[in-house]
Amino acid sequence: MKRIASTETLAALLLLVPLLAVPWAFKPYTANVLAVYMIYGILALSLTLIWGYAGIMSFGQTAFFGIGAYAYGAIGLNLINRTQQTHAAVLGGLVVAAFLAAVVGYFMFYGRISDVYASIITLALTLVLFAFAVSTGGDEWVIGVARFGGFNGMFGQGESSQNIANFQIPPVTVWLPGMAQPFEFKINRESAAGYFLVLGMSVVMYLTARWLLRARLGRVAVGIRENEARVASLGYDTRFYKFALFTIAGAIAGLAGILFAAWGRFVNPDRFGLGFASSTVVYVLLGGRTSLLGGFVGAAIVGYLTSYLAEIAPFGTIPGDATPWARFLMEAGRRIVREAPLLVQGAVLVGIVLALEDGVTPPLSRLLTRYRRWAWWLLLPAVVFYFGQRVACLQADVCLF
Amino acid sequence: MLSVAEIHVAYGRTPALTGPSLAVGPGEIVSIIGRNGVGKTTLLKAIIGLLRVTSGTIHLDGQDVTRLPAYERARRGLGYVPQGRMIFAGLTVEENLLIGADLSPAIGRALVEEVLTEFPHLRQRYRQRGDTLSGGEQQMLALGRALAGGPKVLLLDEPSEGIQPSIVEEIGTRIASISRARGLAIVLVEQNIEFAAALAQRIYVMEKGRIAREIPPERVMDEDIVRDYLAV
Repeated sequence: MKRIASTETLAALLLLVPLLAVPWAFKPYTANVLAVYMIYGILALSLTLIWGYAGIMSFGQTAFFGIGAYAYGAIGLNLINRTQQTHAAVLGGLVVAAFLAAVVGYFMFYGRISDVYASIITLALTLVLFAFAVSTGGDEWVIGVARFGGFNGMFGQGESSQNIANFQIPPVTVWLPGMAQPFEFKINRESAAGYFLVLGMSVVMYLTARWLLRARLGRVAVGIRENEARVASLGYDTRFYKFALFTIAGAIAGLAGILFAAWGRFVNPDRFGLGFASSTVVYVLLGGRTSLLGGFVGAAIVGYLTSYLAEIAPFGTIPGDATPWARFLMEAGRRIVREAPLLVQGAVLVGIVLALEDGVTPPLSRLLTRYRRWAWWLLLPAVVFYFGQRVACLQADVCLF
Repeated sequence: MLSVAEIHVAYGRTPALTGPSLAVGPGEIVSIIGRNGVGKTTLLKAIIGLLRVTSGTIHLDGQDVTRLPAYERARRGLGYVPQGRMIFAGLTVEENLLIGADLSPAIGRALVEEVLTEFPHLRQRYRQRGDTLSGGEQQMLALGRALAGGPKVLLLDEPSEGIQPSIVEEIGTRIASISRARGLAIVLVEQNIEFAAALAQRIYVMEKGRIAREIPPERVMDEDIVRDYLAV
């Protein structure tokens, strides 16, 4: 037990030291990008919870993500200019997402709908919401000052403090009694509060999920995945446990949606779309669905690959004395990567999933357990040193290299 | 304790149980033997509630449980150890026992402790995953998981299947002593006639979905009975 605990501490340090240093070590761009990876990670965590543990494959976790984002947007846009804060919007987003998950979960599990159909129903749900959100372009689709805006996404129109006709979804804004003025969680040159909010929520959601799974709910969930009848014959109403876990996962996905709308100050129907729905499944598959960290790792890998492949011009220059065949192959490779990054991304993902059945995270954590001593005395100091150096360089212009 | 009266079960249009009746009292072990495919496992599944009964009744402790779902029956004191052990492979020994014990939170921990005393093997493997256990240990774990729920009636489906003889003997001894100590009623489905005869006070032979006759345990190895009811 002690071994595992020390590996966990080590992994937590290896992840949290860099993540906490990021706002000081890099430009705000990096914090912005990492924040969205973590938001997708929270969404993926909600899928890991129900798919990885209870074996319920929800293809439409994005439905709860999207509905949380839209609810936050609609309430936030209406409240921000009146109350100067978004407390009710955050709460509203969570409630709406959990409620939708509870209704869908109730009919699925108490209607005894089996595995494959649960995937199809959730996918259909998110696609129905996509079609609906797309069709809300008209002037009649308003809630107070919030306009749904169809394909263009949600925005506010009318009463603005700056007398501008259109305005964006507000960031998460807190104004508690005793505070002189409202506090906005933004990510920009002056503040990284929004980044820390997302990081904090990721940690809290991870710990919540871990706590849930260590208790009875987790044991019953794994039992359901392995053999539902067996769990029932031990005295558990499996329908209730599936319903409860699905609702909790819906609320977590909703929280991710809220953070997303507040992060980008924007939400459009794409968050309900097929592309995003399948990306979420890919995050979990790639990161490993038996590990609660898997979703975060998967989201980061896919996000990084996407932006990296879009930027690079691969293979450098083609040497002049290359044979025509080598020339052709290199030119073709370069074209493929440059013109079709998604193709390459897909190939890489298929490769990883084929090579590592359980995704990336479990083998990584095995490596970490095995080379624990090295990691403590070499890797961790190296990470601390690198990030310390970055901070010193950016903040005080003391650059070592 | 448990009484089953003329229950009928069918898989689609094929009848599987055609009205077997059965009663077990506290501290009593009743064994059901018979050839493959006569409906022994089906009978246990119908009693625990994994299969729907089309007619007939099942009473537990005087209450009619015929229409209750499996989880309700388990909560009222019906324990079930399925064929082939069927422990949760991905959970540890501890978690497997706790999933049984959570049924009665007040005394669950004490029951787990009792199980660990009865099956010391399990204490040695306490933090190991279920799928790292040997067949015999898995059977003990499956028994322990059911016992940790504090049942009044225990349904055992071929606990001796595929386990080495010395362990079978040990498991048999435990089952008998637990039944005596706790006043536990046990329905034991078996292919291993010697094992059944050693444990049971009464033995029923099943044929074609019903109970054909009762035989006294001491006569179970008689040639004519083996030939008539059990020979393949």
